[in-house]
Amino acid sequence: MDIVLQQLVNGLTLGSVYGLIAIGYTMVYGIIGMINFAHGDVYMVSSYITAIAIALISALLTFLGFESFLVVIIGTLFLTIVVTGAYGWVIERVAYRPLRNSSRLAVLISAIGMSLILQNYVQLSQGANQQGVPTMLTGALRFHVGDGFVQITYMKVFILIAAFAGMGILTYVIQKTKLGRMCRATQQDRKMASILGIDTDKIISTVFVIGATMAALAGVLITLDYGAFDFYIGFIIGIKAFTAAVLGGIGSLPGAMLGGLILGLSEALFAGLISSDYKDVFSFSLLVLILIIRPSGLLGKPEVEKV
Amino acid sequence: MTTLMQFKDVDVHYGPIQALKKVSLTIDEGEIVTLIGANGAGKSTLLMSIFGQPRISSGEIIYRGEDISQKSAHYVASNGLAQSPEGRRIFPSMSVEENLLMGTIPIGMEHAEKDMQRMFEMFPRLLERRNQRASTMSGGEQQMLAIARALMSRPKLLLLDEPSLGLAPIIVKQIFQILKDVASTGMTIFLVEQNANHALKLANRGYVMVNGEIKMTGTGAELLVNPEVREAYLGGH
Repeated sequence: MDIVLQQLVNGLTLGSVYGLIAIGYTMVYGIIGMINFAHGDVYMVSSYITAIAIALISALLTFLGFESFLVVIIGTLFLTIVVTGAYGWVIERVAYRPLRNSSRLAVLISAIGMSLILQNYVQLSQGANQQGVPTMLTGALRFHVGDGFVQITYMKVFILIAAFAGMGILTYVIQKTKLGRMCRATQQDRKMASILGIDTDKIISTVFVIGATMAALAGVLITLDYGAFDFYIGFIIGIKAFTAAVLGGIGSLPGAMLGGLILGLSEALFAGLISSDYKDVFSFSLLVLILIIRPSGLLGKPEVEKV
Repeated sequence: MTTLMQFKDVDVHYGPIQALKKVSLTIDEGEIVTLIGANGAGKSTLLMSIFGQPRISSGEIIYRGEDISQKSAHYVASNGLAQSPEGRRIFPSMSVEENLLMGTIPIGMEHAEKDMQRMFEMFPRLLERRNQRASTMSGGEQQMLAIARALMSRPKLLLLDEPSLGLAPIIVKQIFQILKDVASTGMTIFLVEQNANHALKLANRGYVMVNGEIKMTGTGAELLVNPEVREAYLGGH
């Protein structure tokens, strides 16, 4: 019993992070119909920025002569989100915008190229070794369940709160604000959106920036919790988040969040109860299953062209 | 009367195919001008070329003294041109209200609430369906929404592409009645139609397009009694 509850907690935190990254895949797919294969590497870049930000801010605080976990973490979040957002903007500008009217295949190849460039750029500039950040938030909540107990570290509590806050804010922006309406309009009918006075290129840039900022939030959270990272981590987590986006229905924002949570939960339960060696096999089997049974995903709309 | 928009010798090509051939026409302020022609004559191409989709290959599109033929679509829209396009192109997953708000992009939200009330008075059906997803509405309602959305930007020139397409005769009648009301407020309207009868009755002036060329022009009343027009577009009686 306690192990099930423990894995539920672990799965929820993992899933909320998958969900954050999946948002980037699903929004970009929704607006320009391409899978941004460089998105996982944007997440990877954000891990490095997190480490640099922590070092910078800590050094600054030491210089000023005081110590505050809260200042470090908020400063790191802010800095990482801004810098990673800028990466998202540049990537769209360099790799995708020049190909706006070419075939899907060209854009796809450009995305894979961008992914390789980011990996190699980070490897060359930061070294190939695994890097790490110090643990900053220690301690845990413990709940006794029967004979055992469930432990939730404060860090996991923080991840859950921050991830759900991020998703909540984004949902509000997309559903209720003018910017959100402009994003949805561009997604539903780009040509019409431009006729109504929307600068659709700007909106597409904005969507890439939004995707990158959500990946950055995930990057900060996971880096703070897990501590270690290298230039190659973007690949596996990117594919997991992509799986989450497909599971929820690619193009659907709530779908990406739901898909992330379901994937995280089921993966954690599988790892805890059956085998942790095969958890990736399980995740991707789930993807295959979804593609066979319900290709449009849980919340996605089947592609019907209505005239 | 001052000229609001003028097409000067406009050519449009789709690859090797020429869709518009040396098209020239003018729209004066306060006028209702109609362009009639058969399916595939190039009417929608002409309207969309105002927004650079497609770009014209030669000629000029002068709007308020400026050649806008090479400008971006959002620039054109931001300067007082609004279109209810062919096929209506409402945003299917948005509510009626959100669709209307999309019309306010060029002018901001300042008048949004007041203008929306005005639209609901003009199109009471939209008020009933205010929070409904636009895709669930009937064709006529969607057409009303497309026109209302265009009006929300308080345009100087309202462009309408076949507002009667695919609608029942009684709905067509309603829509043209509404257009008449809109025109009576002094709005300049450029109406592209296959339904020549309704369009010519409403319009001050008309142009007839055949295979990408302007073949005839005259006042609405003149064209309505013109034997050639009657033969080709009004069923010969």
